[in-house]
Amino acid sequence: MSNLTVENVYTRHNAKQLTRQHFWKLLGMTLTVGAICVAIMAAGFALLFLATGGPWSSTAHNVAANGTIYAFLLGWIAVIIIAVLISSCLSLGLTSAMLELCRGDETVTVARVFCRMKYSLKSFGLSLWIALKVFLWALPVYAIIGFVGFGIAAAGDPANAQTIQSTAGFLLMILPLLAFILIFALLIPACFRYMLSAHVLADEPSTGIRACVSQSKAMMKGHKWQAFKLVVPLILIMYAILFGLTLVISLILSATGVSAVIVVISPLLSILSSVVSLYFSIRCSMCFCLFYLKRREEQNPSPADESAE
Amino acid sequence: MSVNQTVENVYLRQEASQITRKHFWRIIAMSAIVYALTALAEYLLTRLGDLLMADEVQSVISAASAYMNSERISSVEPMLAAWADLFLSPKFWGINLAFMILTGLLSSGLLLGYTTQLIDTGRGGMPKVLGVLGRMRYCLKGWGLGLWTGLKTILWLLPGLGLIILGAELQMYDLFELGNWVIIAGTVLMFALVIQALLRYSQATHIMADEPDRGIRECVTFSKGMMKNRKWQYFRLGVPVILRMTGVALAVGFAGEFILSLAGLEADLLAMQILQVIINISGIYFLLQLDVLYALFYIKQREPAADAPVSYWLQKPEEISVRPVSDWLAEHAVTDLPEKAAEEESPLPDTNDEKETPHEQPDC
Repeated sequence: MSNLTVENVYTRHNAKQLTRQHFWKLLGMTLTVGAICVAIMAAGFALLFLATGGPWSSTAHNVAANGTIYAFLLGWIAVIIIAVLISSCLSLGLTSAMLELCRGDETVTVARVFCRMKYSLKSFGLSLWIALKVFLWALPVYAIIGFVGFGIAAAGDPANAQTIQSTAGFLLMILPLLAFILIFALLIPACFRYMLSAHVLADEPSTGIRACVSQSKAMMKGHKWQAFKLVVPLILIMYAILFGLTLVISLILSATGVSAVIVVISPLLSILSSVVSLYFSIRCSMCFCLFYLKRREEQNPSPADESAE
Repeated sequence: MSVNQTVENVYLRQEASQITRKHFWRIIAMSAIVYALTALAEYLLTRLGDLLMADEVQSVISAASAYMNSERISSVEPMLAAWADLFLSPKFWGINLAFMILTGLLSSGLLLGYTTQLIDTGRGGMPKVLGVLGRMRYCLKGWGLGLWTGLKTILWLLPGLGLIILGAELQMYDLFELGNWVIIAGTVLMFALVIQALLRYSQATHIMADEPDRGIRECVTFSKGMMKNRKWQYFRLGVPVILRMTGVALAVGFAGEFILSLAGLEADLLAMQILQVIINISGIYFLLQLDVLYALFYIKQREPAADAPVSYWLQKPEEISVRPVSDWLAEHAVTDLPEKAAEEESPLPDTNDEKETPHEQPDC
């Protein structure tokens, strides 16, 4: 009988215990990272609008003449790049802090999220490298989608293109299904294959980008399905709680005669949903940190284990 | 629910999956016999009832067709009189009561026999297909157990139902908001109490199937004792199997609809009925697995019999507490989990449920 499922049970249990034990620290770190990223984006766009007046400003009526829109686009891209640079190194710091908490280090503080700031370029490079590799794995899917789009455009009337009697229509029905299957066969395993690269970089920042990806591939060999099953119960529980919250609040509001439409925009529901989602995202992150440590332990057994054997 | 109960559930599901695969055709034959005999009895009794009530049914049909042909309000009274003659006749009630009792007795006896075979299979034995008929002499006791647990469950229903009725009464007196609150509270209370009651009495049938000499009330009391602090575990036990069954049914349904639309048969009634049958068949394996799973849960909660073979997982998993991760990582290394003991002792074939081959174990 396989023991990977049992390992997942213990991983989730320990992640829950650790999350509860260090909840305020983890919450502080996560909110710090989120707040800084949002602040950078907001400040960047605010400056951009002040500097250029926005792409629809009254002075931009002659776009080609004053180039306002081009300046706005370039500024927008620059803001995005700066935000991604800073958020990737802050995420690296957050992951590093979580790993230390998992190892039992009680001295970790919220300021630990800034410990990997000097690796911002490397973490940005790692994100780009992984995005490129995932994009390459997804090329067959994009090719099929492109072919379908081309087929619909070439056929003229979409209704005619989808008649079952024509060969083109038959292909246009089969190909989207094939694309859907390929997403699950190629794209999702690719995402899980490179999942631990950030953890490797956070744990050992001197490791090169390609070495991080190679180590992640080696660690995830035979464990991708286990990693997928690790967080599925947490996601299901989170959605069940969110559903329950929505149901309870809408029942309360309907019992008091308030229109159910208000539930959708109720600030109370939004805040509660955000808190629940944040808690479960922290727990999922802790699960993956413990998962990484377990894979690391298997690849590099400690000297005590080797001498015992 | 402790992590040990979760791990126990994992092992129970894996063992149930192995047992179902190993004895699939025997188990499906047993359930087919139960279903076929019950359906045959219901059919025969229905036909017998139709024959015995032929005159009354014929008079109702005649009165109804006369009303539809004349379309006059004065023709309603003969039709209503014919309906009243039918539904108020002692013969009608007697036939229906006999139907309920006979089908209840038959299905209870067959269920006890089926459950006995599943329990014996869970203990390592070979299921006997005709063993479903082995508990027919306890059919009256089984039926009595069903009635007793049903009565107790209905009693647990009453508080919530009472609140719902109270809420409806309040609404009739123009207290709509308060009435709404009371109805909502009553509905929640009803579901909570009924589900708790169903879980509490869930082992009674297994106890009677395993030890048919026990009394009805003794089985119920024993079930309550066994399910103390185990209800949530029991509830969670079958959820993954039910989710898988639903996923497979949805996948088969979507694939079938897609194929039918390709063939231009999406509006064909026969094709849709065949698709429905295929969807139902796709769920049979999981339903059988659930039956085996609940039988294994029952075995796990009882003390293992001294002379029966004990599967390796019947040993209680060790209690764990929150410890540093390094200790946890070292303790739950691949070599420490009881898989190796299972490979030596378990008579069951070694099947791998995971989609990928697990990692290589380090050399000792």
